[in-house]
Amino acid sequence: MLLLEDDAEKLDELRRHFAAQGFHPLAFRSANRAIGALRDRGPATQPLMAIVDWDLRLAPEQSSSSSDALCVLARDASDCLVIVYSANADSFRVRSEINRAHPRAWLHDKREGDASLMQRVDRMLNHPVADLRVEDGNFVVHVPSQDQCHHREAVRLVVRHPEIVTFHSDSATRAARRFGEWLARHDSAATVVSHGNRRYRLAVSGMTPAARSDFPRP
Amino acid sequence: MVPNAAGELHPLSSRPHRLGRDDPGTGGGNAGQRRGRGRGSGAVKAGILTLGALAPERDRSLVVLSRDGELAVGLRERLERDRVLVKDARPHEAGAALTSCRPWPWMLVGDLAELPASVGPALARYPVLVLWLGPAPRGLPAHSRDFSRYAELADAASRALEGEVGGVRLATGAGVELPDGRLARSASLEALVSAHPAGFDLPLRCFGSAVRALSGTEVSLRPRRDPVTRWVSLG
Repeated sequence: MLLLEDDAEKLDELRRHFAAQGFHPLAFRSANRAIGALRDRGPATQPLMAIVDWDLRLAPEQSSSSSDALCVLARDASDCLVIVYSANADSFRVRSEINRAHPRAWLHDKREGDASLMQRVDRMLNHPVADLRVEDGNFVVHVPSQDQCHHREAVRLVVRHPEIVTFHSDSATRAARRFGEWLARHDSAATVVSHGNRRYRLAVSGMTPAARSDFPRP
Repeated sequence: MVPNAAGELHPLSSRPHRLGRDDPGTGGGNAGQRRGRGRGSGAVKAGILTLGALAPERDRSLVVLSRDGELAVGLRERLERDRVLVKDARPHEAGAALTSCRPWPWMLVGDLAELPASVGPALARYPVLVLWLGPAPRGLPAHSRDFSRYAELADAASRALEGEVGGVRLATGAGVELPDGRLARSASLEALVSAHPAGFDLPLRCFGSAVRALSGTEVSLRPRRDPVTRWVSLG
């Protein structure tokens, strides 16, 4: 998990919160450090989620902005779930700037407080999909059998449900397929659907577009 | 047009010499790069970073061309985000925004009084749904639709996403779901399903991947050219 927050105290709070949940937070106060880390890690090890403070006025380095970091996330870590929090979330201009920097970013209103942000992230990471749920951000549990699947690609597919996820290596693609086989062995209502070009998504049988409204993203 | 390995017609992205070159401000060979916008400085200003909205995208994409982004913000909040990705672009980014969609954009929406030079040629080659807020500018294809109110346009975009013809409907993210549950990766079939019962003022050969996707299925519909209007639709 990547955290980008210019306030040192708040960054530490976020880091402790997510570390306690089993994540490995990569915490940065400035955008250029975060960008450097993203590029060093490469596409195969991109973070599962990024939480980005839109206003980085307190950052020790100002050569890059939150917008820059979002652009890099959109291009180099496109399957990373991104939440941007801003005190100006009502402004269409801010929304437009965020959308342009990262078209898939989720927006969170900073005025609702840090606890609200963390609760929202927890909901996004832990939301159940059919008979599956993610535990500690690290593995997928098939609830009826309590069996566990420890592939990070499986976690990514569940967390990103119902969106398409692109895997960037043969081993990741194989892991996604193995997860599909694991689901079939467990007679799960969820299946792995291939969209070609290393792109997969999790589908739930009997889940029509209309029915999806019963499962809103937090 | 030659089908590529994915079974689609020649993708827009293979024609960067057309899309981008005519766009003032995209920096010649640096089409798609962002300069001096937003709160950023450094890399984005220097044109080293690509704006996320102009990054390559294989999911179903809706490109919005406007001067201020308000239209894109509204559509992004209205449409289901797992069904379509909204790309918010300015007029000078039109070419880069279109070429970033692989194989081509599912839909183009705009409110500009004048069409950027790079848009017309692309729309003349590929089945892209076109919705316009306000009077349609010169250069848009005959199958484009214009609306006087935003709410009507947003409703039309939403209906296009939820369209179903003979049990064929848009799949989550990209492609179409066939009645037997199989997924077909055909952008031209997506376009035909979304436009149904209307169609496209384009040659029938633009719909080769739709024909291939439907052949061998229980679906009796095929892309057909109306002898009178000469538009292609599912029939």
